[in-house]
Amino acid sequence: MEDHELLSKIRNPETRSYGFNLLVREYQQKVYWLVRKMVIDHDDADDVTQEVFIKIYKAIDRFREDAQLYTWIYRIATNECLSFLNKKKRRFFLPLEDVSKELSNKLDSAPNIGGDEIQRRLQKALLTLPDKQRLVFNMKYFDDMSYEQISEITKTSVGALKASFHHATKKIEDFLTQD
Amino acid sequence: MKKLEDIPKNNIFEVPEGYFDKLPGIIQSRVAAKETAPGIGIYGLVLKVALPMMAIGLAVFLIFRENDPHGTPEDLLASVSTEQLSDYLIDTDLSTDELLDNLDLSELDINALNEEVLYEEFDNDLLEEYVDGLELEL
Repeated sequence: MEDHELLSKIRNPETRSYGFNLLVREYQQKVYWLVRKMVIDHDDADDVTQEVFIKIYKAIDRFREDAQLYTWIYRIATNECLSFLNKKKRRFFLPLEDVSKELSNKLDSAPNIGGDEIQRRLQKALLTLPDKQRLVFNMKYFDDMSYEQISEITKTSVGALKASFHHATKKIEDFLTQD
Repeated sequence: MKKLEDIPKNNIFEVPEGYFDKLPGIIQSRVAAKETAPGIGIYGLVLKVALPMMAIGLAVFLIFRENDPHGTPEDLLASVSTEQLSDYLIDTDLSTDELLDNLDLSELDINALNEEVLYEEFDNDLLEEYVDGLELEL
């Protein structure tokens, strides 16, 4: 179903619930995986994903279609992710390194995480990056999004994104060559 | 292992079985719960705004009162000398009975006053002066 058709169903009070259900089914996996790669733990990803869709529901009437629907949804999801990670740091008065360490430990101990050792090592390398840089890296490397799409979502210039991705790749490769 | 491209680009994260089948229902029920939840209403809104404002007002009042160089009424009264106070009371039109009516005396205070009056050593000259001053109706 086209986004325009989906939105008109949501905006019609008689089909609002049905339309929103379709939107959730359409975007739930994209949002969940974006969030999961950032927060690592499934329960946290589940909470954040639910919050993202509740925010979408509350704000959908204000969506003016000057951006594409997926861009708008990804923007809400990325903001919610970064806000969750910041709250986590503030709640426990943890420095950045400690939150990364906690997430890194989850890679070894949390359920619902597979992959071989080198893939987990890559995830640990990603956790050494600042949250925003990690987010950009995930969207580019794992989700194969174009710089233009990421630029629209993060409201960052393509040039800055390219530089960020280049530095992130270098940091990751340096991490992987250690030991 | 040095290069990123040497690592398989797989998603290592997994979800519990049937997670994506259940998620839309969970979100839908949360949205429905929020929709049916009663709003706080106009009175609620007034209270929500007015109560913090009143609390701030009270706090500001107390801070200013604390810093007020004139202090509390008790402090002001304590700064007046007994002599000034008795002069003021003599000059007023208040009768002794009216003054007593306005005093919040405990039983202990009354007993202490009675004792003071009963065991007062009267000066005979002063007493004569007082009696002479009275305009007795005989």
